[in-house]
Amino acid sequence: MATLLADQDLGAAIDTPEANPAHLVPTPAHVPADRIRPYPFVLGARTKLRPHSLVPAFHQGPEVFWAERAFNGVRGAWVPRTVELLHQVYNDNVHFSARGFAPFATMLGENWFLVPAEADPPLHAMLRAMVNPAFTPKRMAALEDKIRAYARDYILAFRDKGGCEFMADFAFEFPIKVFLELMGLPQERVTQFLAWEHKLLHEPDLDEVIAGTRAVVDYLREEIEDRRVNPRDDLITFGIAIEKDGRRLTDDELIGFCFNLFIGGLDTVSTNMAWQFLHLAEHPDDQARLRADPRLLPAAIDEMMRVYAAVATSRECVKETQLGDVTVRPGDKVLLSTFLGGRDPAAYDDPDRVILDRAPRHVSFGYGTHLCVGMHLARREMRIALEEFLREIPDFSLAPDADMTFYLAAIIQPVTLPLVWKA
Amino acid sequence: MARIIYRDADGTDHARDVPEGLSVMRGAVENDVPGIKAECGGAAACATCQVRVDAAWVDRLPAPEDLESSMLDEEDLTGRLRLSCQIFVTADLDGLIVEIPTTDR
Repeated sequence: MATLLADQDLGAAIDTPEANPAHLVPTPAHVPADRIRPYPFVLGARTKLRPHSLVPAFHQGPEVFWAERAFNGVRGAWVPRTVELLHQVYNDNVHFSARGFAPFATMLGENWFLVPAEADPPLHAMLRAMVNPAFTPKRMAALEDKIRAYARDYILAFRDKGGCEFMADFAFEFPIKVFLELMGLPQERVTQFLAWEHKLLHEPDLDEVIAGTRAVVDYLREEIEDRRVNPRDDLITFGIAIEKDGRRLTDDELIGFCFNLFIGGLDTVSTNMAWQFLHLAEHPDDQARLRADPRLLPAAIDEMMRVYAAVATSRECVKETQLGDVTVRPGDKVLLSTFLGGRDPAAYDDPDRVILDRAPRHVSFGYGTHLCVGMHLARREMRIALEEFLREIPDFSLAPDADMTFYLAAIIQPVTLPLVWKA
Repeated sequence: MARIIYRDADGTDHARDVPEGLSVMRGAVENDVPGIKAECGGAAACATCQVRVDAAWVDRLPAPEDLESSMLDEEDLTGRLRLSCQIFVTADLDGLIVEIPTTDR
């Protein structure tokens, strides 16, 4: 248990905001007290510790535990830590509902939900069949040159400077550019979208989160109305036009679809790229190996996505069921912590180690019917970013004076990532 | 049991006896046939178990349902492209040949 920090040390090393008592949901009486574990990955929490160094300790504990404040910082949830149990929850649409895992509409007092991420069967299969054709591997392959051009724009802007702040100078904006391209939105909007994204995802103040959500939703609604009269070759027009068996997306489903693309496709890609670049900055051998053999990149990206998994989604129990040795009751939240599953010692040998050619199956894109619909695009963005960076930038490393801070939730992300190289 | 022939990108055949009721994807994954990732585990959600069904077999398989079709690239009009997680093995499929394409990503 060498890596296990005592709870009191953890408390001092992690800056967790106080929960607003008005929003705090008490732990249900059926949760056994000995199953409640301290859980640092709470909305708004920050630390200077490496977040994934906190993971191995959980794998010495029970397969399922209860974490207070694990959901949105105000509500407790069951947390399964093994790939096997995560698969069980991902695959079980009878006892678990995806509705309400990202309650942005609720915060606005509106009725829509993320399409397709928050839909349950049988509606989910229909919605997913409607939107899937826009995200097939071949469709995404057609974007290769545009994505590469965006990546090169950013990289060439800092190549000769000997360093960059990877988050601000690349990771945040690059996926936004691709998103704006897909949605047919003006590229000049990139700064505006970045500001909204930060309000939504990293503001500890709920009023700011609501204001950010409001701004994005209002803007997307305007654009949807515009496409009704001015159809174009973009995903908003696609969403308006899709028809299956005489049924189209409702207004609520359309905003849910556009918002799902916004919430699912930007910060997640930024974050995974950050972990990949941080790993390579600190592991010159791995960096050299990928420079020598870029064909290894797809496997290496999957391996780094496993070891540095950053996302947790959730389900809500709708029918009593057994998860490992605990009974989960209707109304209980279940957190799907991919960063715990990614390092499950029962699923992976030497789980904390990056082995570039391991080519693992992982849960970092989820699993089952809700598997990330943008997976093929995300992989392409990450691969192109690495290809172009390794082509244009010489051996890079973490800036020696880097003072790193990390968000622990809603996504595990470095706040900044200063990289240096010999210009 | 039905014998399924998995033809990999190099043209090498991997013959596997797969129990009836199992998907062609599952038959590959559980019998160490390389090249089928099946990341979603069989939910027609990832398209990483795509195969090209041998032309002689296309009409002998049940047609794909909407969800499966939506994951297949529409340019493929031959009907050979399928998600192997949505093809379930029956005795009639003994001898089925599926080609595993190289993944483009």
